[in-house]
Formats: sequence, structure tokens, C-alpha cells
Amino acid sequence: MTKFNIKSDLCTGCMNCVTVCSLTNSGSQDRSASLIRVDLELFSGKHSHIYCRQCENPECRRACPEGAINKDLQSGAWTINYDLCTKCGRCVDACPFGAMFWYACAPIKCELCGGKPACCEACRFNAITPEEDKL
Amino acid sequence: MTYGGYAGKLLRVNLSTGTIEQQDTQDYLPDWYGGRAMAARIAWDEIPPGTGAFDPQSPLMILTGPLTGTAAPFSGRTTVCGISSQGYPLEWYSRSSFGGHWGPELKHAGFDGIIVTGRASSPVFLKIENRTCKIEDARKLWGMGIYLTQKRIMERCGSDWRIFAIGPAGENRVRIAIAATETESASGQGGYGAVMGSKNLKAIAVHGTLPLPVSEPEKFLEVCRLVRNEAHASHGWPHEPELDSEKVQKYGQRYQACTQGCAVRCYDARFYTTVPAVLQKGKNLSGQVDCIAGLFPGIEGTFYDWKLGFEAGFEIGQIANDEGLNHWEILIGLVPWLRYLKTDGVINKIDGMNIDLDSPEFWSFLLKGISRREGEFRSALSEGTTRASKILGIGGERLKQLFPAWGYAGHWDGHGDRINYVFFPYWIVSALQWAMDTRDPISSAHGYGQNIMGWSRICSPEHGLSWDRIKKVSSKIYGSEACADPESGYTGKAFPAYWHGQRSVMKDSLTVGDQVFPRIYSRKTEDHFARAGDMDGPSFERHMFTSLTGISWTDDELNHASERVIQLERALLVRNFNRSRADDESVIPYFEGIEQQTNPLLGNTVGMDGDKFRKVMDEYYDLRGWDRKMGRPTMETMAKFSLIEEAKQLGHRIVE
Repeated sequence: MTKFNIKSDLCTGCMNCVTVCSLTNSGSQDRSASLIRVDLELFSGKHSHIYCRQCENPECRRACPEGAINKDLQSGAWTINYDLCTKCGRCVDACPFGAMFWYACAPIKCELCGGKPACCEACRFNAITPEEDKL
Repeated sequence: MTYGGYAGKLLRVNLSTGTIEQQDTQDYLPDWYGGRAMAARIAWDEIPPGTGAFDPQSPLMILTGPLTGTAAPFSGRTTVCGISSQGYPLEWYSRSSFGGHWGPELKHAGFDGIIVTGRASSPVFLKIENRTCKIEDARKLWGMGIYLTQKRIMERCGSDWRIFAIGPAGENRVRIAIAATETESASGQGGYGAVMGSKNLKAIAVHGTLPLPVSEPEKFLEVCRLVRNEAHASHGWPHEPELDSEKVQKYGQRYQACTQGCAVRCYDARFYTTVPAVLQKGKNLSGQVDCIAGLFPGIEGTFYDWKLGFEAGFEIGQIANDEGLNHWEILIGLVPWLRYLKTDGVINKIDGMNIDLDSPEFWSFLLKGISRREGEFRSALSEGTTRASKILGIGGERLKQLFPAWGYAGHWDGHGDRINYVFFPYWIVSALQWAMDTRDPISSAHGYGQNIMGWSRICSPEHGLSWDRIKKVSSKIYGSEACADPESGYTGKAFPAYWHGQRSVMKDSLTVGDQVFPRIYSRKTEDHFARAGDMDGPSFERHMFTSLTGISWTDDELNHASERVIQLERALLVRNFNRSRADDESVIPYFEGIEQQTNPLLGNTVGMDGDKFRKVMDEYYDLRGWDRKMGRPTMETMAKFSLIEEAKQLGHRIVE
């Protein structure tokens, strides 16, 4: 797969995607480490999601002066090379979806869990579904 | 040692003095491992005999558990404990719980729980964020409904804050007042909204960004994944329901988790995005409908066959939520009781208005009058139906048909609750659960009657299991096929009540959803016994608990710790309220009434045989280690649970 899609109208607000993502990526229940965020609209029921679209020509990559954001050919995800990253934060500012986050003094983004996103499996309501590689 | 899963601090607020203190959660760990367990310890230590629900010193304890807000499925709930204002004949120690997202938020704000004592001189709310707490002025919020209160605080603090609030009913110390969050997640039973109101505490707003440690992240993730995938629809049903296509089209019906972590489509939890109001003309309403709230419209062909219709019923349910009233009491107890009074010719009107359950205007008049203590009749109802019957001097016999005991309407009991289908002999276990509690016990003990009925082919013709299979699966946990045999009568009924007692504590302490746990039956295994990986279904909670916390308990050790809570709660009831077997037996006359449903294998309806039930009670007391005469823990039992010092406080009331 190269990305996942979210159908917000199927989201029940269970937050399993967030708790599983944060635990997978930080080893603790730290919502700040989650690479998917859910804005719960508890009174209208219309929740919205913040997540990386794995853009074809991503703004985060273009904003990076160090060339630290590159595609992982195996998973299809744009990943951060922390050996090159200077933590300048321009990628975080550049993402039009607000899906590049700042955590533990460094930018973080969804890297599709190496090709098998934990959030997709955690969602039992088909709100998060993988999009297979069209190539 | 620092255990995983816990935020690490308990917040103690005294509203009389304005004192705010933080206590290490560790003080109670691992023995009193969260929620109800921790509350029992605090209650024993800090609630002296004679404390009433509305006494300022009466602590209101709002506690999460280690699993709350983690990746553990169905783990969003929060437990509320303290002296209950709904309790009858006494305001005594009890508990309640609620879902939504508030508990997880509290933990990320750095606290495992809040213990509130005292009474503020004027209305306040608590503003809690990342290990800080401020007492804020709530005078402008006083009088507002629960929805508007939340919205006002969110406008002030942020839309990602979570708020637990009371409405006018709580402010006015209505004994069936809830405290709630979002549009439907309430600490519904127990009258803790009134306790909150008595403290002049309008709301508790929380927000946090702090992490929660996990002892074994990879193992915990894997256990949670397995448990999540094994789970079935709630309510003991083997298959998941679909949405109602007409309501999807017309009202924007959608699935909505009633609490964080939910991983199944259940029968009741639905959100509606656009429902035209009937009373508030021109307005569209939105909100959640969970659990018994689906009854507000009335259901043709049932005992609850009033004709409000969906739109008016939805609006009335929302009004009850907003005013802060207990749905269960209204729908299963209070309104059926009123209808009986009308059909019996006792009354036609209340406070000048004709009783008309098909009229939304009547329902609004009734509910708003109760929450605001208006009119003589509705003011009496503000005391709860049981007390109202005494105050008004009417409807005593009808009350006995609807309210098993303790001031609570029936629930999975085969008698007063006529929407949940359970017949003899399964309600014998319900009766035992009722007998031993201080409240409606079913809210955290659905696992027996509801599960058996839901998994049977009577309730699930296409997906259910045969009686033979149900007996075989259940014998793995109860030790005998008689415990779930539809033709077993009074045999084998004590053990399930005993076993589910511990499971109830576990659910309220860890916390996990009552409707799903304990996992017993499954359609995903060959023998239909719930299992995932190398875990048996009834061990799921323990595996999540140990991999999260690092507390390396076995199943037996978690069971023992949970039963210890029951022993301490019982000791508290004995010490503070002189509880005895005579109280427990007060449920018998209710259950001696003829049941509402017929066991097709028996072919006739029956009532309880009191003498036979007393023998089942004997068995239960033996299992618990309580003396048969008084129904109290013996010294030997207290020693077995390392409660010697506590036993000494019971003095002559304990049997050597």
C-alpha cells in the first residue's frame, strides 16, 4: 500500500486509531506522539481527522532544506531521515493538512508503520482503509 | 515501583476550604488497583458512620483505572463512588459509572481520579489541566443544562476539553440526578449529580497532554489487538446489527462509540445529526441515543407502548439528559408507575396536568418539573419514585412490581424490567445480585442473564447457540452445566452470582466496558468458548492489565484482589449501615411476583419460591465466607483477605 484513506462519516470517535498509533510509535500512551489525530465534534457527531496523505509531491519535502524527507520504496511512505534532519521545523509549517507534528523536539510524520498501518487494523468500522498501490 | 497505565496522582479538592492537594496513586497500589477498588479503600478509611450523601464531608470519588484511555479496547469508562443520594432505605455507599471521553482526558491531565469533599460557598467548576487544578467561578453557569454548560466551558477553555457536568436536577439535589459528559454519557444511577450539586460543584473540566507509561508496549499492543478482534457485539448478542436505512436518510443516524475504545457495533449506541424538534419548533437537534434512551419514543407491542414517536421521543430524551435526570429511573420505574396510578384510577393529573404519555408536552412538564422541584407531585418525584410513593402515600403496591429494592427500578430481573427478556431460572442469579448490592447491580454485571439470553436461539435464532452448547461453554467458568441450564431451577445459581460479583469489580476498577466483558461465548472458535491467541476469554482483562501495568498477577490473584473489594465494601456496609441478611432478603417479595416472560422449556410462568431462594442465599454466603445468619464476613474471611484491622472495627457485628 502507499497510503490510507479516511471516511470521517464512518468514524465512531472510539479513538482506537490514536491510542494504537501513539503506542506503536512512542512505546507509551502519548497522544502527542500519535501520527493520526481526531477532532471529536461531540455535539454534532461530525468528527474530522488529521493525517498524512502521502502526497505525490509533498510540501513537507519541498520545504526541507536538507533533503531529509524521502520515499521509502518498500512501504511507499514519505519518511524522515533523522541523520539529515536539523529539526528546523519548516516541514511542520509547510504541511497543508497539519499532519506533520512536532514531538520530543523533532518533526514526526506517518510512515505507514512500514507498510502495515496499525491504525487501519485498529479501526473496526472501516473508517480507515488502506489504498493499494495503483502501479 | 512505578506501574504502567496510571497517571500517578490523585487530586483531592476540599471545596469548603479551597484546598487542592495531590496524592500519589501509588499509595493504593497494587492492592486497590483502580476505580471501584481504590474507592472502597478510601471510603473505608474516610467515610465515618453517619455520613449522609449531602453532608459536605461526604467524598465524591471519580476514579479511572489503569486501562482507562489506553489502547485496551472498551476502556473509556470512569467510576463514581460515594454515599448515594438515590439509595433507599438509606443513603449508603454505592457506585455508578459513565463513558464518553472524559476519563481518558483526566488521565492525560495527570490524574487517576478526583476526590471532592466540602461545599463551595457559591457555584464553582474545577478546571484541570496537566497536573494543575483551579477552582473557577460557576455562578453564571448555575441553572444551565448539561449541554449548554459544556459548550460554555468549551468556548472558554477550548473545544478539546472534556466536561463532566450537572444540570438543574443536580443543582436542586434531585435524588435521581445524573452527572454527565457529551450528549449521553452519564453517571446515571445513584443520584451522584445531586451529590455534586450539594457541593455547589457545577462541572469538572479536564484537558491534558501528558503521556501514560506502558510496562510492556509490544505485548500490550498485541494483547489489545487480539482482544479487540475477538470481541462481539455488545448486549450478549453474537452478531452485529445494521443501521436503520430510513433513519440514516432522515435523521443522519450513525454509529457512535458510547465510550472511548469501543470496537463493536452494538444495538443501541447511535448518533443522530439532524432531528427536527417537536417542542422547540424550527430547531434541529443532534445527539446520542444509548441504552434505554431508545425507549423514549415508545415501542408498540411492548409494555412501554406510549406513542411519542421518534422525533418527540428523541427530544424528550435529550431534555432529560440536559436537565440531568436518570433515564433508567424515568423509563423503567417512574413513568410506568405513573401510568399504573392512572389506569388504577388513583390519579388522572399531576400538578394540574393530565397524565398523557403520548404527549411530548406532558413529558416536558413532568421532567422539567422534577428537575426544578416544581409542584407538589413533581417535587415528590424529585426524591425518586420510591420515596415519592411514601411521601404521597400512594402506589405502594405498584411500586413493589417495578422496584426490586434500594430505590432502583428493575433491570434484567424478569419482573419489573419488561424490555429485557430473561426468564426463570436465569433471573434467580439476578435476584441474588440484587440482594447483595446497594443499587441496581446489573450495570456492571450484565454478563450472566443478558449473555445467556442473547446467545440463545430464543433471542438470536440465526446466530445463537444451542442450550447444550451454552451449558458446555459456561461450565468452563462456572464449573457445572447446571449453572446455565434452562431447566436447572435453583440449582447452581449461587456460583454465577458470586463469580460475576468479582467480574463486576474488575470492570469498574480497570476500567472496561460491562457490555462486552467478561468474554465467555464466541462464534470465532470451534467450541464457542471465547479465546484469542493463547488467552481464554475470561482472562482477557488480566492479560491487558499485567502487560500494561507490570503488576504480574495471575488470574487468581486479580480475582482475589477483586473479591477483597467486595469484602471491604460489605464490611463498610456493616460498619456504617448495619447491613445484614434481613436487608438482603428484602428483595424476596418482589421476586415472588410472577415473572413477565415464559421459559419455553418449562411452559409456564413462575414467581420466586422464597424458601428455595433462601437456600441459594445460604450457598452464596458460604462462597463469600459470610455467616448465614447475618450475611456478614466472618473473622476467618476477613483474615483470608488480609482485613484483620478492618475486622476489629466491626466489633460485635462480626462472627468469630
